[in-house]
Amino acid sequence: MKLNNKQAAVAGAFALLAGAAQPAWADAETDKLRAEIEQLKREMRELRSMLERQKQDTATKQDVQAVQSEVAQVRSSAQRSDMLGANSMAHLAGYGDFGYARRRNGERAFNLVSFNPIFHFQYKDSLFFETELETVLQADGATEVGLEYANLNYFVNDYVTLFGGRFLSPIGFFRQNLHPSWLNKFASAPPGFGHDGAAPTSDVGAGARGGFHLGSAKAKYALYLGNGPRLELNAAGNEIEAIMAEGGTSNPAKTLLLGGRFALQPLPNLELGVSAGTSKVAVDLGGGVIEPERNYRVSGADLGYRWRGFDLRGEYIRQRVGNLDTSVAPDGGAWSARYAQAAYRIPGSGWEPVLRWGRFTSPHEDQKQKQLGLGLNYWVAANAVAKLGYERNRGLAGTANDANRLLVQFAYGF
Amino acid sequence: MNLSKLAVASLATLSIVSGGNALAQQPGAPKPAAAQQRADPAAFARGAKAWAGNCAQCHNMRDPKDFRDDQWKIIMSHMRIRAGLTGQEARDILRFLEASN
Repeated sequence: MKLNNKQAAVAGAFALLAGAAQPAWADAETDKLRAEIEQLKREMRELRSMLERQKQDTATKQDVQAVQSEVAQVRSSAQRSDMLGANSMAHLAGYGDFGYARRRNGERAFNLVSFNPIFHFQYKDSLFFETELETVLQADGATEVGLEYANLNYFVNDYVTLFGGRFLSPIGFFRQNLHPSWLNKFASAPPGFGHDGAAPTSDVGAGARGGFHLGSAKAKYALYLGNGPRLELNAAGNEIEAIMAEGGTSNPAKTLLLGGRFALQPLPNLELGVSAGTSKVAVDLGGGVIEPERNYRVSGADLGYRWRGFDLRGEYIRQRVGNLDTSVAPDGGAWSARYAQAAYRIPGSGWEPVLRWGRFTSPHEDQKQKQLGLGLNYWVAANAVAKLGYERNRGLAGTANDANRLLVQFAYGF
Repeated sequence: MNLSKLAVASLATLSIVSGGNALAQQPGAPKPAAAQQRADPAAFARGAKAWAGNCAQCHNMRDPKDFRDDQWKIIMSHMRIRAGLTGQEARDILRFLEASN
């Protein structure tokens, strides 16, 4: 179709009018589309943001490989070190200490360095073996190593444990439970509670021990048979110098010691104990010559009470050897020791003042001693303590037992 | 019969009379005590009480976090002997320590 000039002009005018003026419904549609586009843009930004966060929180393949490698190394290391098998466990514990002593008119030296590793081994829930090596530096620089204890225990049931080997003497409380330096609240053992004093330190034998309930109270017991003590003669060989109540594998009298301890806890913070033992002892003159046997008795009582920050202790122990007229050392005698101690842990601090009184009596004047001790401890941690102590000692004039002493000690249990 | 022989006889009798539980716990057998302990909701409370009442008799209280579960297990065997704990007390304290470290 062909348009003439007039028709073409009219069509052009309509076209211009259609392009220049949009209707109202078209504007609304555009606004709606724009809003949708803005909404989509916001959602896109949020998705990108979430993706970034997810990337940060998610381990990469390299991360997973690194962890797998580490686990493999740990497993390999554990398998190499687990020589005890799947049913056994081992644990290393112990304690170490060092100390300085200044005695009036006497020693002024760092007089204590010791390391006491304790090894624990356990098979399932039934067998338990424990041993402690006492490693102590001597005055001349030599190192003395002793087997403090090594015993095997069998948990028969909830109330009975059978034990055998060398064990800390169940007679009394201090030697068995409190003598390690990181447990002892004073920088020295009470008079008579050290080695070769009045309190038995250890024995070799076997027995049973455990605990049970008596109504609302708790009872503890230990009953054992052991080789018992040996007798030590003086240099002249005509007196009994000391009772060596440290377990050995010999028994000159050939009679086993029957001993034990029974304790009652009427309250959780109060323990009352009594101990006793009886046996025969004989002087070993050496060369296979052993004298006839004579009586030996040991008895003791102990108390422990805690109330708030207070810790109160007390113990009495006595060993007696009978007379024997035919012996090279006919006179027997009694060695006894007692102490009372009060400590108070100042609340909210590591400070702990300690007051201790002790007395050791013996048939020999040069062994007797009375002591009053005053100490101040600072607990760096529950198992690490710095101790400062002062002993006022009274004994035979001119002997070390009569000289006052200042002590500084640091002990760490692990 | 002297005292030593009497003591040996007493220990043997004690072991035989009280040995039933031990014989029931043969190697490889299930551990009824351990399973029962896990299912006992009061064990934690009993353990906390026994822990507070017994441990401080000799030493300062240790933080349960000082040792791992496997370490506490063997330490508790040592303390059971040293402190005269019953087996139940030892298991309760172990349960408390394992849940608190």
